[in-house]
Amino acid sequence: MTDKKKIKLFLVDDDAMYLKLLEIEFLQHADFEIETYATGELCVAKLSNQPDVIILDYYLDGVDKSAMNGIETLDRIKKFNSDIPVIMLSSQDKIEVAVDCMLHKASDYVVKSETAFVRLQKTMGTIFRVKKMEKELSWYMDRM
Amino acid sequence: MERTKSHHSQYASSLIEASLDPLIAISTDGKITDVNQAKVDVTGVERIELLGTNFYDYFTEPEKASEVCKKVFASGFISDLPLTFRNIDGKLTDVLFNGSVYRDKKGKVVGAVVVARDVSKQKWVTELQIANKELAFQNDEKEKRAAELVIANKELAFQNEVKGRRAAELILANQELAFQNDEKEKRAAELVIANKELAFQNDEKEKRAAELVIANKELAFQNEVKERSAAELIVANKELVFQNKEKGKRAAELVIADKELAFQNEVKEKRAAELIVANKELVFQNQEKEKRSAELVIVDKELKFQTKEKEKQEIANVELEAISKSLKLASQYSLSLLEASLDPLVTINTEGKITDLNEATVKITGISRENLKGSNFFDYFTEPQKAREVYQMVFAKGSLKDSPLTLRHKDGTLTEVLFNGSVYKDDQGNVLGVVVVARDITDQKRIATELTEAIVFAELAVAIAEEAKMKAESATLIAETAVKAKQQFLSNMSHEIRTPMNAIIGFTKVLLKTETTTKQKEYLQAIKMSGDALIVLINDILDLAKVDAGKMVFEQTPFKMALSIAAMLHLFEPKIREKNLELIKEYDCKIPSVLLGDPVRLHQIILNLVSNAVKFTNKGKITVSIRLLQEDEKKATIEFTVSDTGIGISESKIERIFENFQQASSGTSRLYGGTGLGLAIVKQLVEAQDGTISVKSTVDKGSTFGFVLDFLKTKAEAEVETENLELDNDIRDVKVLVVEDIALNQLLMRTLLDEFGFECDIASNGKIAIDKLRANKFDIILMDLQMPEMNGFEATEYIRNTMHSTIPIIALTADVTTVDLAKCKSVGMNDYIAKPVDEKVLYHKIVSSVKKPSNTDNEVEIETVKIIKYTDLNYLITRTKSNPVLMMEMISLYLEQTPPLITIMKQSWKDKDWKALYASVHKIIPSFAIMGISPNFEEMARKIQEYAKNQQQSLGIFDMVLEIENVCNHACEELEIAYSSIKNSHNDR
Repeated sequence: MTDKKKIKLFLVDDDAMYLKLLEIEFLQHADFEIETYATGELCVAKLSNQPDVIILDYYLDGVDKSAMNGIETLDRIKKFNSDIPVIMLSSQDKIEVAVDCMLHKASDYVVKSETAFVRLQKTMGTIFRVKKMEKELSWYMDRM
Repeated sequence: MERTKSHHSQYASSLIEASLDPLIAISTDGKITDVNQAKVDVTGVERIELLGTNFYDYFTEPEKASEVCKKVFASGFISDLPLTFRNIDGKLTDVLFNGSVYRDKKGKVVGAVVVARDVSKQKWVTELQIANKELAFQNDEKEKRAAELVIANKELAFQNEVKGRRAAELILANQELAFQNDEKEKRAAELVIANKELAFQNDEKEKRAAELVIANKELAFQNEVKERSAAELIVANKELVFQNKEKGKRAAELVIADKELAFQNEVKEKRAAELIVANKELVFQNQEKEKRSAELVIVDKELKFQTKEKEKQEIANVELEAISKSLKLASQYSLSLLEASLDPLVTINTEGKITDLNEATVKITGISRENLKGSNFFDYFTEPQKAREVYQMVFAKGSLKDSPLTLRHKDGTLTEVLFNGSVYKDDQGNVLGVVVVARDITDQKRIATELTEAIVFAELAVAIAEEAKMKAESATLIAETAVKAKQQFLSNMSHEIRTPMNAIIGFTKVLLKTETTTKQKEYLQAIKMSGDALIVLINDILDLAKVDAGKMVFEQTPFKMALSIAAMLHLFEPKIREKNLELIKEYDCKIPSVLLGDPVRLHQIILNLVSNAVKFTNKGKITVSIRLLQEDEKKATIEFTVSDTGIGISESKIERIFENFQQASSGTSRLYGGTGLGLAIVKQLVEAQDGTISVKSTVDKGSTFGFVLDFLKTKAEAEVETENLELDNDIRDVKVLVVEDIALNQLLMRTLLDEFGFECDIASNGKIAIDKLRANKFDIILMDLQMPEMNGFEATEYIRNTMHSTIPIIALTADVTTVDLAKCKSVGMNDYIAKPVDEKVLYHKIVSSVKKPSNTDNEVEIETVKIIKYTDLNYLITRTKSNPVLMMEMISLYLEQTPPLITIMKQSWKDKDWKALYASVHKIIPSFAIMGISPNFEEMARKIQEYAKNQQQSLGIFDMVLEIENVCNHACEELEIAYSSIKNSHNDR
């Protein structure tokens, strides 16, 4: 199934350094197809490339106030295709922010820290497992 | 009857004898005829004696026994009749009698045979049986009762269970209740908070409603204005329309005018042509003129020459005239001088007649010139004879000087004059006459008299002045002694009051640290609060006295104004929050970071003002603002204001509030507390530092207190006081010598020092201290000043000068008013602490004094520490697995991204754009971790973020922003170096 194919990953963050770091990490750890974007608009524009997972920064309108912020981008992505799992990243650790993201149908919320990458890996693993289970379930249901 | 001794009867007789039961044969009259051994035994009487005696003799109840006998004989037998034998020795035996008659062969009753069965045992057995029956019966009863008890116990057990169950249920119910009570309390607390919120929001709504009302009024007003302007616009439009019409008309006119102009231009052109012709004519005529003018020039030159000749002649004439004039003038000049003289001048001929005189003479005599001329000189004097002599003397001697005379005016006025006279001669030397000058000396005389009078007065005055001086000297002496006494009194009082206060507060603190019940803690807190309040009061009074006596010394130490103020205002936050007031701090960023001044006194002033503001304000806000008024190279003038929305002060009272012990009204103390000293101290402190203090207030609106002070600028670093009292584990075994005579204080010091973990030894006076110092080694000495035998100063002097010890000595003094702190320093003490001793201060001073020797090493270390890098690329190396290309990419991204962020950060700070500040700092934070920058700076950045989010301008933020900028700049530098080194090493490969 999708195991043979490389997983397509979108990374969206206005901090170019952090973006680069994430890219390096992902490339080191597994075979991913990574596309990086610095703003929400760019990411939304390229949604037609059918990413498997999107890792999205929360605070996108920091320096450039006119850009879309993380939540808006999240809504747009979900409107386009609500099946794409989106993991929110932020350096804030506030509960309200995390809950807000989850309410907007993010799959998970990870705080930028030393352990961020490990968490990302874990949650991606979970997401793919869930997807696999859903597929199997729907297959069996069809049969019945 | 004897038993026959036949074989059968022997057998029978032995049987009878063998029987254990007493057998008795009784005759019909009751006498014993035969007995067996058993009977002998039972009665204890010998056989022989028994025989023939009465049967009934051996019984306890003989009558009954005889009855028995008779019965037997009557009925023939008897069975089971109870009787009791009595033995001779008194022993009783219960028996049952069986008896029957025995007959002879004929059938005649011979006698009776009686068998007595010993039934004592049987009796006993029957008795036992009865008893047993009884017991059995009772046992049955008991068993019944036991059964009943068992049932009852079961019942009880059952009921206990029931009770137990109910108890358990009750416990559960209680827990439930307790839990619900908690819930209720929480809800009640929440309700309270919610109510407060509501109240607050209601306030807000009311404010907004008020604002809306005002806004509505504004809108209505503006609508009116708009309508008016609309009306005006309509009018203006009409005007415009009208003007447009006018313009139309004028345009038409202009068209006509243009046509006119065109026509006139044609005319002009014609004339221009004519003019050209005329010009040519003119040119020709000009040339003609020029020729003629040249001829005229030559003629002019001729004329000029001739005029010059004439002028020369005229000049000669004029000169002659001038000479004659000058001669005239000269004589006129001398005459005018003579006339101008204020002194009467007279010329007298040899006969004494006046030949000439001046105006002054006319004036002084009052007679006209003509009359005077030719008259006798001496006629006009009070003493003509003397006058004559005078002028004769002049003729004789040739001159006379200063001869006093008196002139008489025509109307009688007398003028005292001094005469100077001298002869005048002609060219040949003939005496023509005498010229005499009289000087009016009336003024001089008057002045002389006045002078003498004045001298007399002056002498009198000198005498009085000397008296006054004596009095003043004595008064100064008295005043000085009074001041000294006052100071001595104050210092004594200060010492006397402070020493027990020290003990009270110190021990209360120590007690509070031990285990206490809640109630005890409550009471102790009350005591501590009162003690603290008292100390504050005493300090206030003493400060006031110090400043009054001019003995207050102000320090000049470098300190950070912003931090100092922030720390102090921090103290007020709980109080302010309690009263639901708002504290607004405004701090001018342009104030230099470090200034020279006395932070302690500044604290005191602001403390007093702010505590007044808090005390007298019940709602609203308190604003503390610090503004830079002006700044030059040497100093900065700063204005401090404390405003509040409190009860205000009325105009009439404003004058009085700065006086000692004065509050605005007598009721103020009752309502608000306070002693009325705060403002007096503030005024004294401010004015003693050459500052000015001002107050503005409106009753029920609020008050604003302001003061202006100068601070010198300095390049020195300020000492930052650390607030936290942390036991430094490196400094554990410090040996302290406490020199103090009062036992109470000794105990207090020991308790404090034990708490710090220091070793301590106590000496009661200077001498003992020195002895101890000789014997042992100590790290620091805490020296009280007032002690018997050898006081603190003497001891210190001895230690420093005779023992040559440089051990740190800290003075403990209860009295900081008259004791010269300079004196402490001069005898060689390193520092001083005021009693009551504050443990934090004590700790710091001990630690810093003890640490000093090793400070130099620390300083060197600090230098080396500073060289350590800001960034640490280990993290990056691990992440990129030392891939140089990736490292370079990451570094270049950082170098690209960070400087603009720093600029934005600083700019947004300056513009007070909190959102931008938040965003820019937010972005910088992740890079800190990636580049291995110390987490302290990350914390700092987070703090900035926090403040930006709350839109709070705190005093230390700008410092932090600068620090972050500094860090990032350093980091960029280091990273650039790292980048190039990586690049080089990569390229080398």
